[in-house]
This record gives sequence, C-alpha cells and structure tokens, in this order.
Amino acid sequence: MKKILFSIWNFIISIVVILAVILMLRYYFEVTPAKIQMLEKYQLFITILFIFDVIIRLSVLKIEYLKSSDFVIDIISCIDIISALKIFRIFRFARILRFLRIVRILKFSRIFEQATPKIRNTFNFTGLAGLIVIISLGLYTSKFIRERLIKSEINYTYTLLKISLNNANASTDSEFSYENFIMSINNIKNLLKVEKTDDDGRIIQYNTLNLATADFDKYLNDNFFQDDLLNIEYQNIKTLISIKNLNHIANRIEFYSLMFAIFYYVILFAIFYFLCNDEK
Amino acid sequence: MGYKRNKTKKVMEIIIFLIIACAIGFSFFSMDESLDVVEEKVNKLTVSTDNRPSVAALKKSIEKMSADEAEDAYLKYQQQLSR
Repeated sequence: MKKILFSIWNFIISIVVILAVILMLRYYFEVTPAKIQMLEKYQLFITILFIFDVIIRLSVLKIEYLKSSDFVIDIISCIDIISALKIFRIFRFARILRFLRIVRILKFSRIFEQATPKIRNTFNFTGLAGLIVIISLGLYTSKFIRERLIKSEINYTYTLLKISLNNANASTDSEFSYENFIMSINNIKNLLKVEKTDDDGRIIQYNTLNLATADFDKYLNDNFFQDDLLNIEYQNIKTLISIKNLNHIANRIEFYSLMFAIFYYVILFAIFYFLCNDEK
Repeated sequence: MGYKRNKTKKVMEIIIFLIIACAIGFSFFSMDESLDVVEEKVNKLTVSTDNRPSVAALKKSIEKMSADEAEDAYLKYQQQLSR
C-alpha cells in the first residue's frame, strides 16, 4: 500500500516538474508586473510542494535518500524559496534561483528504474553538470549583453540631452526655449518623462504619454519593474527612460539557454535510456 | 523471433525520441515567434518618437559622450537598482 501511494506521489511530482518548467517558460511571455507576480505565486506553491516532497522522501527512504544524487537535485531545486522569503529584494536574483529548478527534470531518471545505481548517479551528475554549465553560460551572456545595451542607451540619451540643451539655448532671443528643448528631447526613443529645474527653482515636467502625474505613476507601476526604468540626469535635467525592451532582449537569451538545456536533457536521457536497455 | 521483436521495439523507441526532439524544436521556433510579438508589446509601452508631438530633429553637431561618462552613468544606474 505504502509503495503504491509512493508511486502515485512520484507521478504527481513528475507532473508538477513539467508544470514548473512550463511556468518558467511562460515568464518570458508576460509583460506586466501584475501577471508576473501572479506567476510568482504559482512558483511559490510549486516550491512548497517540492519541499514537502523532500520531507516525504526523507521519511520514506531515510538514509538511502540522503546518500543518493536525487537528494542533491531536490535540494538545489528548492533553493528558490530564498527569493520567496524576500531575502533578496532584487527581482533578478529570484529568477536566477528559479532557473535551478530545471535540474528537477533530471529526476525522470526514475523511469529507467532497472538501471544500476551507478548508471543513475552518472546520469544525474552528467545532467546536473551540463545543465548548470548551459544555464550559467546563458545567464552570463544575458547579463553581459544587458550591460552593453544599457551603456549604449545611456550614451545615446546623454548625446540627445546635450543636443536638446544646445538647441534650447541657441534660440534667437537668447532665452531658454522650451519649445526647442521639447522638440529635440522627443527624439529620445524610449523617453517617458523629463523634468527640468529652472534657475528660480521652478520644476517643469513633461511626460510623453500626456497623462496627469497620478495616472502616469500608475501607468509606470502597472507596466514596469524597477529595473525596467532608467533615470538619467544631465545638468538640471532629469529624464526617465524605459529599458524594458533591452531587458527583453537579455531575457530572450536566458530563454534560449533554457530551451537548449531542455534539449540537452532529452538527448542525454535518450543516450542513457538505450545504454540501460543494452545492459539488460 | 525475439531478436526481431527487440529490434522493432528499439526502432520504435528511437522514433519516439526523435518525435520528442522534433516537438521540442518545433515548440522552440513557435515560441521564438511569439517572443517577437511580446517584443512589439514591450515597444508599445513607450510612445514612439514618430507619434509624439515633435518636429524633425534639429540638426546640430553631435557631442559624443566619453567612455568615462558612460561608465559613471552606468554605475549610477546600478546604485538606483540597489536602493
């Protein structure tokens, strides 16, 4: 009876693992923070299930489980609970930790139960090492490209800010021309807001959506994360630009590495599956 | 007889794995296309320069930002995030 219940639990966990991977991929298709936070709640539920799974396995398999490579995989896939407990405040860390969850797919090695523990452990460690290398490369490349893109965006915005100021100061009546300034600054592609403080302390604000301040703030909260926005200051001018499109490019690299990791796993699984059958 | 059955089973298994690999490949390309749509959505969150009430750029000499200035600006951005 206990064995049947344990098999049913194994099956449920296998389904949850597939769901977890689908949810991880789903993240890349959502734009608004509200939707992503909803996905986060599902992810939290899955993490709790995984922790529960570790407890069940410990109570059923005891020391045998602690010695197996499955235990290492299970613990790694639960690490993202750290982000759920809000230990790291930056959203990016949560995503990196969640990436580790993919190692759980290695547990499908249970399908070839006829395999010797040596083959299963070799499969688990080859898979774990491969997945970690692919995921790390993906994350590193994504981070590298993101930094380069942001630097180039900052450079571009600065240049246009300088031009805008030059244009505004070059008006015929030798006074600062707001008209020239706004016309020029509008060439910043992802501009959301510009704020200029005059010499007399007067602050002039302009947002490209032509919304009232409260509505504009709501729009920002609804559509952007903190790291999707970039403040650039030059002299007495503050601009707010969106770098969500740049983050999306970086995220896309992560997505490719995730897909590549899945593909790697399927090939590895096929190799070990046939190896097992030949040994039988 | 048994050898033949084993061989057929193995061929079937290879075909199943190939189908799974093709399915993953196919879903990858279709998801990649969907990501293009997401990219368009992301771009629409900011009003493009063409639609803003602005006139054509006033051509002036372009002052290039130095590498140090770009570095400083990037560090400021990192500080914003960690705040």
